[in-house]
Amino acid sequence: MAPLGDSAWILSELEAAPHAVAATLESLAIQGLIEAVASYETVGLYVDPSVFDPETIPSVASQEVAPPRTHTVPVCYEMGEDLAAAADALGLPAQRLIEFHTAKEYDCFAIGFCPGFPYLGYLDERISGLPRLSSPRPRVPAGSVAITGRQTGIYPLERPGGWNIIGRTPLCLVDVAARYFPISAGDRIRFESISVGDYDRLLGERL
Amino acid sequence: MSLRIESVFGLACVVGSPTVGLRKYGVPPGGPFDTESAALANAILGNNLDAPILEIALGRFEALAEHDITVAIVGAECPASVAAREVVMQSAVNLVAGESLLLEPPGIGTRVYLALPGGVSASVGGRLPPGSSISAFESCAPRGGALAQRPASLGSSELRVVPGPQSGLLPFGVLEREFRLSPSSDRTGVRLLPRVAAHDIEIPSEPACPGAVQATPSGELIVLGPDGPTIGGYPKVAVVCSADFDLLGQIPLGGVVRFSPISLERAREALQQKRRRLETCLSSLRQVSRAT
Repeated sequence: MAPLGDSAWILSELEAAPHAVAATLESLAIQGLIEAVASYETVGLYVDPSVFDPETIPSVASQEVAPPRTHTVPVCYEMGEDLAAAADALGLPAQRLIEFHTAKEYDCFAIGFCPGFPYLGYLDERISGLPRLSSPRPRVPAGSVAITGRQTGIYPLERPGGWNIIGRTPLCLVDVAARYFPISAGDRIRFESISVGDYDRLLGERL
Repeated sequence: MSLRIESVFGLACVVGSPTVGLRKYGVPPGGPFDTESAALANAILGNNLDAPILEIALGRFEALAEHDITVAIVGAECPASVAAREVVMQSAVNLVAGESLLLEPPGIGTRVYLALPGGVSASVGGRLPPGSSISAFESCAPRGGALAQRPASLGSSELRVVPGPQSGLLPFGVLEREFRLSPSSDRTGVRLLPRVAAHDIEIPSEPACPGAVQATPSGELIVLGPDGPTIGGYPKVAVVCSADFDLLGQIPLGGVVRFSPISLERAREALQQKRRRLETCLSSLRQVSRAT
């Protein structure tokens, strides 16, 4: 357990999945613990340092958590600005990249970067290893589905970003004002290839 | 009771109390960058300390009173006037319908907080363009109320920091010099110049927090602001202690920043001291308002 400033801690070397540890700790009503948040291999504890005592954090072994939900996210790969370049860099036809991307069900390790952005993995080795763009785009359109390294993710809101954009989903994946957060760490995501016509028809619908 | 924004050169946005419990969905805490100034502005009007408030950064701001209205202005010291007569900062200001409040670019500090009676009734977040109106939740009779001194967050360039989780990989020594705020700084992150040495340290994305001093591979240092990402994969050299986070929100673009390392224990003491100082300011404000 390492301090992250004076009002947060990072828990590492966990004995269970980070999202399970975070959910368990939040359910325990630990004094001074404000939020517990899962990341890839660690959990962030955000605390009031005047009452929180790090000694009160129990070690969380395999805990019962709700079974993961699986979401299917439709993606129009034709709208992926970097699809051709990414396929070239991987030495594959674009169609093969799409097949590999849609073939797997991905784990959602964490939500972060911006509201509702799911960090998903891991990619099939044959489409892994792409670096981030050397110069990030100032604006990645909302709904962009992107890959880098072994990871894939979805930009639910327009943001600057450096991942390789291989498609776009028409669906709404987050609405902060309405407290709409359909995806949680621990869920599973599958992508499904759709046409431009399907994209237009589904645009703006909720996941 | 409302104000119509006539012109903004800079950024004006409504900020509320920090969001709690949504980091797991990637939603940062948000809230005022300089929490203490915002709390004091609200306190002058007898509001809840975390009532929604207008945060005005960097520039000239002009707003027209659509009705008689009392506001409180706390934070960066700037020349302020109502209908061309000078008014005092860090205090309540009474406007008659049709009068304009003008705030010139600040001389000390960078963010001004404008409180309305009961809080600002407008949706939180997003910038307010000229022509938009902000309303008060309550009405109140013209009143006085002023701080005995300007907020403690103003005019300091030294931020106390504790070592970050990756200070072993990227030693604290890289912070031992003077930096300046880059013009591309905002509420997401305060970017510093010059760059430090480039590095190729990669870590799996891990929890981040406001005040974390991240080093990008190119050597750019970014201190996360209240709207910064909740997790991130850049190594964190240090974290600004909670007691000094407000100071970061008041350093102007181009202004100097220095970091001074302190222990975790000292950082916690500093936070306690800051809370006591705020409590003292609040109780003297309450005494004054009872006396008048």
